[in-house]
Amino acid sequence: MVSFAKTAAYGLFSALLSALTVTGEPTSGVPSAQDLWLEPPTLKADARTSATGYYTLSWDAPDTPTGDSISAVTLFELQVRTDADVWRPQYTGPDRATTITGMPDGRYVYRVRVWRPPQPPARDPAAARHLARSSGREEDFRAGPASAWSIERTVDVRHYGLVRVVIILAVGACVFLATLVLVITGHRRLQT
Amino acid sequence: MMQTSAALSPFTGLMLLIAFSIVWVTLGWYWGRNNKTFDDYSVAGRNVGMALATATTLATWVTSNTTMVAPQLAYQMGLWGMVGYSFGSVGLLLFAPMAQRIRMLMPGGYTAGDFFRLRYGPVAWRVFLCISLLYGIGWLVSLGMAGGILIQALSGIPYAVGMTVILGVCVAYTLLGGLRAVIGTDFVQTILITLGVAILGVLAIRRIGIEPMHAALSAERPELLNLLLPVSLMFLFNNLLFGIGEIFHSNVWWSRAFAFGRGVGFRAFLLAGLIWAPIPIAAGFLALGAPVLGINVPAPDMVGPLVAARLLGATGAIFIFIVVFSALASSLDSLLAATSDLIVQDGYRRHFRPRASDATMRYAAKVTIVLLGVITWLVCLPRLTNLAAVLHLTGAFVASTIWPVAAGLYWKRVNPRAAVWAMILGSAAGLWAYFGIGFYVAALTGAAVSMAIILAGTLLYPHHFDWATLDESRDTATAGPRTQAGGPT
Amino acid sequence: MILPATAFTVLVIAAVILTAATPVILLGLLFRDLMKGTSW
Repeated sequence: MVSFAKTAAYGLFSALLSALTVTGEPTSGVPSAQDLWLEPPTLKADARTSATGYYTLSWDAPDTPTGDSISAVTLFELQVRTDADVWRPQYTGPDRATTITGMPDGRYVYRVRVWRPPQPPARDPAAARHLARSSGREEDFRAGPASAWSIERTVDVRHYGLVRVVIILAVGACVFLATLVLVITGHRRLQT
Repeated sequence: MMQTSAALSPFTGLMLLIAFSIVWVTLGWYWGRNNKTFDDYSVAGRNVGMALATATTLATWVTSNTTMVAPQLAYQMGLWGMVGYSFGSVGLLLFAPMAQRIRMLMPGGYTAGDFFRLRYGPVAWRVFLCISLLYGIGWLVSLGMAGGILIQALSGIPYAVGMTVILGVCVAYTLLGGLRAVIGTDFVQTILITLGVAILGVLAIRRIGIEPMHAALSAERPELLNLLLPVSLMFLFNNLLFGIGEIFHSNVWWSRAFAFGRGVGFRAFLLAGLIWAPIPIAAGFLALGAPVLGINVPAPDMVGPLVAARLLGATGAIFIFIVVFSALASSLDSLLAATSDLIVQDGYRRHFRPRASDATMRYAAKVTIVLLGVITWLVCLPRLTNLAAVLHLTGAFVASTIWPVAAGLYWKRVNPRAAVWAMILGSAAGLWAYFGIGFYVAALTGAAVSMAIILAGTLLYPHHFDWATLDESRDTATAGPRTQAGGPT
Repeated sequence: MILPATAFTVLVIAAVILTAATPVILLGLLFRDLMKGTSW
């Protein structure tokens, strides 16, 4: 985790930077670009309950203050918790979505946070890209600051019930077999 | 949304696109240069041999879906998703005896529309045409979109450009060479597709190993290995009946029944069905390698390309590019040809110009192919993302044609009115089921309701049909364009 | 009912082998058709 001193130094530097920039945001009410930098991401799930065992989670974090969406400048960490109160890693990387499949019945809680690079964000896009290229490794990111955890999202997996499955299978099998019999007997009759 | 970079450079992608485009168009021109009559253009002279017949059947049924959706289904619905997709071969197998019957009953026939018109009368014919066109255009658009999306995912070439090139190339060589060009290029494309899938499969097995794949799945995504996973079981017969409905009704397959040489149809469809069956599994299991490789899949339809790219890097991306481009082209060309046939024969000639000459028909066919290409292009351009849902909807419609077609070919007593109601009510029921119950029952419901109506109608109000009515070549007043054509019945 | 690893392995290998056999089958058929003059 990031030490307090580092965070303080980073905050001081950012404050200086925004004070010096001509395009600095006004402080009244509107969060500055620097504040957004460490806001927790918003986590979304495409379903609250899944009867199929698969669902997609997506998240987003504010882009760099220059407005460029350079995903390599961020590292996301997604964690999952089942009933037992232990958080396990689900995904760590630059992508902003993941599809989870093949889950058995149960309740799954997710949270995500974003890791920013150790250096403060650059003002111009070229420098930011250079930054991204030079410090793209997970260890580098973990040396930098992390946002707080996002609001948790829960997905309940409850697979379709047995009754429904059996009925649909039965109807399907009937129609298919009837069609099979129709074609085969029709064909055989003509051969004779 | 996701930000993984493309595996191929736009330059490489463009070179591949151009190279293959030149190959297909040249081949199309070469094979089409002996086309003289409308019969040559639309049914390839009615004498296609076993190798080409099998290959074109296979190639047309291997769509981009087989190579892209099979992995997606494996990833989302596990074993039965993947194996269930293989059951799509059943449609081909069942059509084998029917192709023989069709050829026997209608030696001078051109389209599935001809069958409905003669067997059931004008009302059923027109209902069928609506369903057929809806499905045909839906399929065309989905292929065009898939082309643009995949080229963009693999090489970064903008969607609109990739989509336009694919559509343009397919229109060009279908236009130049008719069904002969379609069938010829299909053969080459089949070799490329099956070789590509097999090579990727072998590499996946060697580099990942099947046991580690199984272990990772058991640990992280156990339901994918579950033979009793509810959603995949329910989807099983729905998918099966959707596939049967697609094949039984679509002019893509009927035109082949008319084009294949005597005795070839039965064997070609049978062999193609058997050969097709393992392909979705060979392509699908790649997706199951994502967990063991630690690949993140932001959207499920990306899983195929993502795994292939990781396995082989740029080479893997080139393989996928070639395989998918071939799969797309081999289905697009067939659809363009068959749908244009349907429109020209059943729409243009039967409704407006019954005495159209051979040359007029060929000209009309070409114009229609271009028009279809343009319409498809226009619908593809805005890139509607819920197209997959629309395509699933067509399952309700096409499945309602299964019994009207099959029973109509073998039973004299099927009531024509029953056929009309079977299609209308079957489609309606399927639509209701889609929205009211779920996507996994649309085709199933359509087929079941349609079957019930045909059975009831045939038992309670039997008709008596004379099979000879279907053979228009005996009656010179209503035969094809080489003689004086009669009016619509 | 989880499919055991052995069955899974057999399924996958069979599918890949059969798919690989396709070009061979088709080219063989084409050769025969060309020799007999029945390709088109």
